[in-house]
Amino acid sequence: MMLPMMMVVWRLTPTDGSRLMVQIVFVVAAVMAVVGALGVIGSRNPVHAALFLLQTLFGVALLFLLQEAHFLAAVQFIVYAGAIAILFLFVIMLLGVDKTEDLEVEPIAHQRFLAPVLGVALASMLFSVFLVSSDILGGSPQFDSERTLDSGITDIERLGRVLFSDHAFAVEITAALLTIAVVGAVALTRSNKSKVKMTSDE
Amino acid sequence: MIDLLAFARPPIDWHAAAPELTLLACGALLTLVDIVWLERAKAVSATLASFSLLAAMVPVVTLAVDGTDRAMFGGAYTVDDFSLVMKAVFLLTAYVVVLLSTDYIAKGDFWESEYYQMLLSAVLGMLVMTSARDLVTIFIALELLSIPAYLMATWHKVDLRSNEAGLKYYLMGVFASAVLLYGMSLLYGVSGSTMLSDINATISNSQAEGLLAVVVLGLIFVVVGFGFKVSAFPFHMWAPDAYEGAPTPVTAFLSVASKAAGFVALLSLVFVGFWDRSDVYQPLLWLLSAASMTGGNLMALRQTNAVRMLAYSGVAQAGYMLAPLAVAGESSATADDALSSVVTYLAIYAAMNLGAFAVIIAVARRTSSAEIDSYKGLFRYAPVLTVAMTVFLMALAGIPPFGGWFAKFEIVLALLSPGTAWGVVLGGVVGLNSVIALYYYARIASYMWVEAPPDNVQSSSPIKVPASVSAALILTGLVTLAFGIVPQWVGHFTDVSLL
Amino acid sequence: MTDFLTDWGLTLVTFAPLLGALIMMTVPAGKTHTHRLVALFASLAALVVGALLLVDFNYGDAGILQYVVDRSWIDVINSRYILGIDGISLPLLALTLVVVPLCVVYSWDHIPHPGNPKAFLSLILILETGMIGTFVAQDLILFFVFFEVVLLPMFFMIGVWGGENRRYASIKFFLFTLFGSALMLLSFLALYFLSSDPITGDPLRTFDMRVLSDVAGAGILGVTQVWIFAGMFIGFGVKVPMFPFHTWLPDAHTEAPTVGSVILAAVLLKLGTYGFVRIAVPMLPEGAEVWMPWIGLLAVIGIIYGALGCLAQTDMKRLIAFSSVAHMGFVMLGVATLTDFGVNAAIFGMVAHGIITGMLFFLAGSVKERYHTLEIKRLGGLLVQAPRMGWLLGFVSMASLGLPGLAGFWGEFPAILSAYSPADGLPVGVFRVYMVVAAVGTVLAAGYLLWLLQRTAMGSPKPEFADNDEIVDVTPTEWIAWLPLLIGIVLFGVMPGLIFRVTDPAVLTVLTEFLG
Repeated sequence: MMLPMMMVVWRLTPTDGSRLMVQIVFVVAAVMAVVGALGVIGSRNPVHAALFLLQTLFGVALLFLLQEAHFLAAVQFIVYAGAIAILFLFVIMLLGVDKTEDLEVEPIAHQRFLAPVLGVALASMLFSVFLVSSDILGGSPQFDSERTLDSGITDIERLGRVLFSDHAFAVEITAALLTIAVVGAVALTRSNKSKVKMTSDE
Repeated sequence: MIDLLAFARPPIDWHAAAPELTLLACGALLTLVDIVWLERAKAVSATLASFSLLAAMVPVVTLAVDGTDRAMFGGAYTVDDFSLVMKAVFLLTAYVVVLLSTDYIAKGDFWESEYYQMLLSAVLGMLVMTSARDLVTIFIALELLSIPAYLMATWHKVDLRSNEAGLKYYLMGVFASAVLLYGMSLLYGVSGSTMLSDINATISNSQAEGLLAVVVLGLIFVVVGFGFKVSAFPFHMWAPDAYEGAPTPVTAFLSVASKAAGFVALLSLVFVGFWDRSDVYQPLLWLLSAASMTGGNLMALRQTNAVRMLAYSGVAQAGYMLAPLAVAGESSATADDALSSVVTYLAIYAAMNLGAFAVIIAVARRTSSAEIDSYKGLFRYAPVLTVAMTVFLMALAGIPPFGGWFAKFEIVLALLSPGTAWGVVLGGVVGLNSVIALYYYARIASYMWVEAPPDNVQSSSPIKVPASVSAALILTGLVTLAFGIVPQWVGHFTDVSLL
Repeated sequence: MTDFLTDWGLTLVTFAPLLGALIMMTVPAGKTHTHRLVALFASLAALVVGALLLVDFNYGDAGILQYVVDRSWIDVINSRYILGIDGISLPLLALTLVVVPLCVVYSWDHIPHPGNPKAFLSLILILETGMIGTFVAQDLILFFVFFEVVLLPMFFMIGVWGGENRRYASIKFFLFTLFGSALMLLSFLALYFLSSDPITGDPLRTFDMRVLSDVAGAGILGVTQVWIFAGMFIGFGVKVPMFPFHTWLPDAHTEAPTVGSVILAAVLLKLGTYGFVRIAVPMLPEGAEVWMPWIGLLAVIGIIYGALGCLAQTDMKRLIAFSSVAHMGFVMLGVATLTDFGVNAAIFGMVAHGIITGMLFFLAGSVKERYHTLEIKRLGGLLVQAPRMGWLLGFVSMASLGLPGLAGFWGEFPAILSAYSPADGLPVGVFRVYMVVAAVGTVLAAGYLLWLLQRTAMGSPKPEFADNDEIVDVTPTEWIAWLPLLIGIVLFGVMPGLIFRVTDPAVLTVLTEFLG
């Protein structure tokens, strides 16, 4: 996957002296991401796996930064690295780190056979999407010129403007969504006033 | 650098947003009352919730009287006849659900005030959905109406089946959201805009640009994502379990309001966002519709539990409602017919399905069961409930003079009006399915009327129905009858257009 | 007064029974007597208004619709509330208006198990509204709604108050009829979309039966007409019931309570034949021409099959049910000729069959009440134990087999005769064969009815019933309920012109396309 990605980066970056720097950062970030990904599947200790995941996420965030997707990079840091990976760790700790799992059991029938098949299928699909779209991405920009980024303002600022003008309603209503989610979660997790009784079949 | 101070506040039409704001304010009030009064708030929460819903009706009516179409945020939020009619349907549906819940939630082991807060915010999401005309607003509205619904499904915490229902519904819902979001991102990627009207303008000429594959994939994902929400076959797997396990008033809410909200989104997507790509969505919806009708009905035939049966019948009903969309793109006249027929169906379906659940709730007070067998001999000890249930079941089956016939009739009319072979065939499928469906509706009816009551049900005294459930029964019953006998009353309101 | 009748008469006739049913719903179930009175009053009210309409009817113009009401109903689908009666509707309307009060009277002390007169009588009244509405509606959608309104009350009447196999019979009745009406509705929709103005060629987009009959299928290709007619053929044919859709009928009749059977035989079956005459034939003349030889064939098969079926029955009610199949065969044969003579005979046949078979079912019900069985081989000696009832059975059987001088004759004989020269375009030879076969059918009819009479009425009572006090002769309630029907049998037998005079102009209107 790395080669085509590199091609894309190559085509999208401006052709001046900074290209070399960009390439160096890209290679570092990509190696970071891929090594992290391999570490996730490779490590036997779940905590290590989670930490490797963190590394991958950081690498991807760097890649985003490289493409001037500042907002996406920030979200990658805050949401994935900051919240989700921590949640993983939290769950791992909760379930017990030292528990060894019986690897002989297949929770889903034929999963050992299905996994590589589906994996290859997915990979080839991604690759074909890439092949189909590479000439679009590499070719002349097909969106009208007004929509292309001008270097004057960052995408974070742009996003802020859009959110509080075009999508102001959606943003405001999200407040209600978050509030009610908190209320509901609290109500659901608090033990009932009366005694909790389980039905007989469990 | 652009000066940040130059930011212009987008103009807001307060009147247009009044229904949502009213509901939001009332919901906040309900929360405050709960926090301040604690236990004492329980007594007033249901009343407050129902008043909130009625209060939100007021601006809907004034907007309808005013009659002008309003748009905010560059058209992302639109108030037109379609959205107003659906807002009214949602508010009234929720009102009936409150009536059904009052006694059930107060008697059971539930967090009461929070329940109504959930309900109100779900309704808020539905109101937003009716007006949403861009992808972001649609998605936020979808989450706002879904998240409280997941929570409500699992509201009966001590019951494992309720936990199962909530969890299943949640997982499938989140999965559907992910699929939907992926589709939306593809559409956004192609069109560069989240506005449905822009998307339509872009994707209608995308074939020349070689992006057809992406458009098709995006459309499929979006439709499939909402296919879960409206529980269309084969994306219905969550529905029977969620319906059976959830508290029955919540089930009523899910099966009517939640489904309708999915349809509202689908309607605005199809008619505003995809309309020119009928070559893509028509075959897709045709298949989805035919599969839902047939699959839902065939599975409903085998059910032994009334709630599960209604869940599968709901799958079939979703199929009927999807049907007109499969021919909607033929011409703008056809599109208007199709839209009107679906809106009509939604309004009538709300009345008849809520009514059926009202009876199920009332009967379960005696039999503590929703098994179809427990309806045996109902006529002997609860004749009024039997007649009511018969009315609702036959309305669902589409037998005149009860509301459902007109709904089905409009669907078939819309299917036949373009005169295409696909439309005619689907019309035939609708007809055939109506007859299949009749069998399981009639089976319950004949259990109630023909059989003798089972021994374990005390059948000597009539069932005491709480006043609020009676009110719900009367309301839904009258509406079901009125819409069947004078269909013009509903037809007048649902004669709307989105094009 | 006349103005009021013109504007409101038909609406009043149609909805008076429904109003009665609504009133009954507000009365507590315990007050049995009030319920009976309300039911009787409501059905009599409809009869009185109906009688006024009959008196005021302009018989000189029986060919055109009278008392027409045309108001907006469902604007979004161009369906209107149009009522009106002409010479074809009138006799059937009168039949319904008379039969229902008699059923209410009969139910006075004959509420079948498991009781609950409130529900039973309400259902009869709702049924009446549906039946009357079907005969007076002049808009296809309105017609459809009324046609379906009939379904549910009958379903429950069989299902709740029926015999052993009531669940099977009721669901079978329900599903068969609904399947038919689904197809019928599709045909109506096809008419709606395809009919066009014969002069301008614009699509009509109307459900108005008057307009659709006037344009007579203009703008619809012959092949299409054949298909649309097929949908209606199944829809109405199930209701008639025509062979091979008749299988629900014996089950329904056998299981239904007496009153249910009477209404079913007397009125409900006529909804189907009425639909053929009123809707299918005038609106789709080309389709009719193609289908009629086949309908004629099915009709004569029905006649023979019904008659043979009768000979094989061991249950009196089932026997009468099969005789209905045969008799409706004669009616359909009359319709199939598409001649003035044949269709008139068909309408007469509908009325006659309504009165006679309704009466037979009343008798069967009363026999069942006394003997608690209808098995023919266990019965016998009715003339000894209940002589008046025995004579009545004999009299009505004679009427049913078509004895000249009684009503049944005028339905069968002209229908057979009309097959001798069917309308132009129909195969004459084929219809003459039908005529011969149908004539054989009358002989068989005489056979099975006399056979029934011999085994139930003649002879001496079987030992098990010999000294049974329950077996009494005709009671006063029964006399009141039966007398009008018996009078009708004689009256229309002696003066068939009473009906022919009314129907003929209307039939000529319906058959405009075929008579040139």
